[in-house]
Amino acid sequence: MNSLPDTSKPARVETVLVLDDDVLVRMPICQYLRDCGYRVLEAANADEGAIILQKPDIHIDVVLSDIDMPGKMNGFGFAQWARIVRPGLDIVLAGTPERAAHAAGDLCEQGPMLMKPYDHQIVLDHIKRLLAARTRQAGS
Amino acid sequence: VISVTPKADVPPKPVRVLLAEDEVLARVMVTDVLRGEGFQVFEASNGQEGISILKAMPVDVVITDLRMRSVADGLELARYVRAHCPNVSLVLAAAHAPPITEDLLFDAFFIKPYPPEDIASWIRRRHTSTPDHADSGLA
Repeated sequence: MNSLPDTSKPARVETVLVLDDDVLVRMPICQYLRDCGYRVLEAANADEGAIILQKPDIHIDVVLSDIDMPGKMNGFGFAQWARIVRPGLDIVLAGTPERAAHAAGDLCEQGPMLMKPYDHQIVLDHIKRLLAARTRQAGS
Repeated sequence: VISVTPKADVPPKPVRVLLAEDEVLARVMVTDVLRGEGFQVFEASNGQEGISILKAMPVDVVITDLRMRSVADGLELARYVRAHCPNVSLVLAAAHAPPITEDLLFDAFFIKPYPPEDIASWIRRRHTSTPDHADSGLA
């Protein structure tokens, strides 16, 4: 006998904390995750991420963090600290915008609401366009 | 018999809001409320990030703090908005008033701690009324 999944309860909106010091990478990643149905909190560095994780009333399911961030902690340091403060927290580290886009796509594929099909290429193309525009402006 | 054809039910385009605020918990609180109101919100942790976002995409409203720890603070962001984005509504949300020489840059001023719902109401009034509401004429 087939058993159908219980759809009577609304899915809880899961929260992703995204850390990236480059706003033109962080912004499309966060927008993509929101479009996938997540609540997304943004941190521009490890200090901001730590302030959020130190608030016990802010629920976080997953952290998606850049590795190379300026400041007292990079992504590795932040991950070590975060696992002490919040044991069991899922942490995904991404060293490049490409890996961050892949990680966001994976989260969307696993996510609770699945409003978009898995396609990390969309967000990656968006990041590349934004970064290229910035490079052109800096050069002009 | 008068027949009335209903208007096509096209969902309105969400108002795009940029919030520049360097206190992350204040940013979380305000953006939660604004997104809950249906606005599309972009976040900047300082004035420089705000300028980068404005160069990358159009927005309808910029909300900025005044003092932020970065190369560009809220005043520099405001001056950039007035120089390059003439149709954007500019809101100051800060603990202090701007210098008297700069206060005409802004369309509205909210003093911290302000209820984020007040800014949401202001944006809704400003962006759902007359067609010529968007340009403050202060540019």
